[in-house]
Amino acid sequence: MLEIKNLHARIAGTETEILKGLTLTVKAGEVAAIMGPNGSGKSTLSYVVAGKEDYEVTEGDILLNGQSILEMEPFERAAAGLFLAFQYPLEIPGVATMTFLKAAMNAQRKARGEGEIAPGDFMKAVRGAADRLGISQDMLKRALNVGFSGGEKKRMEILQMALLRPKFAILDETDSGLDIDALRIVSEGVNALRSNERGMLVITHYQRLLDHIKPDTVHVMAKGRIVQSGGPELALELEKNGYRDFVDAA
Amino acid sequence: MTHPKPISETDLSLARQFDALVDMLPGDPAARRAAFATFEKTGLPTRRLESWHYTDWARLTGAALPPLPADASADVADASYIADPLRNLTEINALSVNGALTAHMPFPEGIEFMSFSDGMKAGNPLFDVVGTVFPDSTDPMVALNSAMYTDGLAARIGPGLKFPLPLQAICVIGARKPGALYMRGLLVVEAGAEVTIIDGLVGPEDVETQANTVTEIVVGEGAKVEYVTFNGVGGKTEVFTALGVHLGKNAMFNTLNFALGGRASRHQVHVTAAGEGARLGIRGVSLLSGNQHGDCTLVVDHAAPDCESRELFRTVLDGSATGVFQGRIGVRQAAQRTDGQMASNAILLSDDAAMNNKPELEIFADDVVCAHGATCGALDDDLLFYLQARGLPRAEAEALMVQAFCGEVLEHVSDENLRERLNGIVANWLKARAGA
Repeated sequence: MLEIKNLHARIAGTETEILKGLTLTVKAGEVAAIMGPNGSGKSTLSYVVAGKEDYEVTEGDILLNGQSILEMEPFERAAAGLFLAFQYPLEIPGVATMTFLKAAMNAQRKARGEGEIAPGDFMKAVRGAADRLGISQDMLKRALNVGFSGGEKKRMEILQMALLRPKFAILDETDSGLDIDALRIVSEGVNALRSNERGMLVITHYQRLLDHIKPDTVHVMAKGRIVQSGGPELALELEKNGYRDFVDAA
Repeated sequence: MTHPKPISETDLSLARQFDALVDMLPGDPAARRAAFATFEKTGLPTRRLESWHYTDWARLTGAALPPLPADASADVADASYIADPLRNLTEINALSVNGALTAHMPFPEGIEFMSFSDGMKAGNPLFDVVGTVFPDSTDPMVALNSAMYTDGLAARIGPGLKFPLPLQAICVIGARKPGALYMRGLLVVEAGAEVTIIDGLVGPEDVETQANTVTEIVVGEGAKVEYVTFNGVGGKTEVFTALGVHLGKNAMFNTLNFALGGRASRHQVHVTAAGEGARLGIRGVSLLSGNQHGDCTLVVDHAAPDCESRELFRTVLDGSATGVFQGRIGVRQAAQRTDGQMASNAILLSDDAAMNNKPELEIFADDVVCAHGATCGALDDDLLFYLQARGLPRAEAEALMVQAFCGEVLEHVSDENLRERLNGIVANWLKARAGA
């Protein structure tokens, strides 16, 4: 599903290399977790996969369902089925949440050669997904993420994921800034989207999230590379012993 | 007669035009001569005049075009002049061509409505206020208008009258050959009346024209007025529009300027909050592309206590367009507890576009809350990436953000139909840009 091969990336226009030969494969139906200390390049990895211009890939490749996405614009990657839940979802003043959701859904449909979603279907889909995530009608009427709490913003990310139904989702520190109740709601939202056809990459600092979203595989990232891979037990080990051994080894 | 100090060929030819016209124009020729003398002290404004520092009108406009004939109805008979975006908005209540009233709907009782020249000639007492609403009449363009205006519209809304729907007055510049137009407007809204007025100016796309309109508005005690000006003139037009507004006690006045057209444009607003408890909003959306030059200049004079003013201007610049915002909030010593907030924000969609922001506060009272802010920059890359990551191509992401940027001003328009039309004009402008 998602194959990252020997990926090297640096901040555009500089010599600062952040990803240094990262290799990772996540299969369809698999939930992979990436854990790693601050500064290991986790968020950079998510941005590079999503196609942010601030980074340039100097070596390696990223394949989604066997097709390289490196030359694709961010919107083309989205239309191809890639979704990034942002660590810090952005506030967009003046853009009503509903307007944004509709624009995003229709843009992706258009890119896939499908017609616009019928207004009735759209409303039904949004209401259903919003109810499951405890998102009020009032929030949907407001400008996107403006004045939302940290938890509300994260729920809004999962709402978008539920509506866009991506083939592959990257969740970048979706647990940060969440209280226990919000963590449960968000995790349930994510778990509801697990399927045999969909792959997920969950980036986190803490084992806590993985109690709620149980991963199939766990990867440790340090200094821009995957330094250890294993099953869920690896996360528990990290929680106990910290990252130091891996960072030192990297 | 001799003129003291003609400073350019253009000013000289304006003087010749004035001499030929003055005795035929409505109103008192002596007052017109005095106004022209004021104009001649500077001539057409240049950078040397501080209030025109960013808009060198003399350079932007070039030669003084000959006055357009008052009767040009034949030139606009096909109505294709009227900008599409505003057509059928509401029924046009009054249509004028080159300042001359050509058609109007029957108005309900309590509205006095007339052409400016007829009112002047009849000695209607309504016209006693003409020339008094701009306290500082030394502005050369306002003075030039006072000397040269031929006609326009005037209305009085009787006390307590309330109109649920906006009244729309469209002025068409009718010109098949290059020419200039000087028009005057007067609106007196008596105590307790409530009205929304759309004041649109449109004209030919391919004929060089110059338009100078000055409108004076008096808002009586407790009256509520919303005044929307729409500049939809063609790309070869230079347009100067000025609003002078006098607010009575507890009056409420909101104005929005939508600037779309014109090779060069300047919209100038001077509001005097003369009665205590008055509330006012001055807002604007300017969409400028190509080599358009668009200027919005405001002066808010807080002369009475407990007044509130809100100024919000948003400018979107593409191509090598230039935008100007100058705003001054003045708070006199008597105007205690004034609450004034002014902001000008500009988005530059191209590297060659430029914006000049000049907000000022001048405060003589000690118990006030006043603030101003100005921003100018490209669209935020992080926001654009967020939208793109959700599947929007870059152009669509930009359009959504620009739409939102303008929408935050347009949401203050109370009439839903008008608000949607204006939002639609922004959308069309963005579409034309994407297609270009």
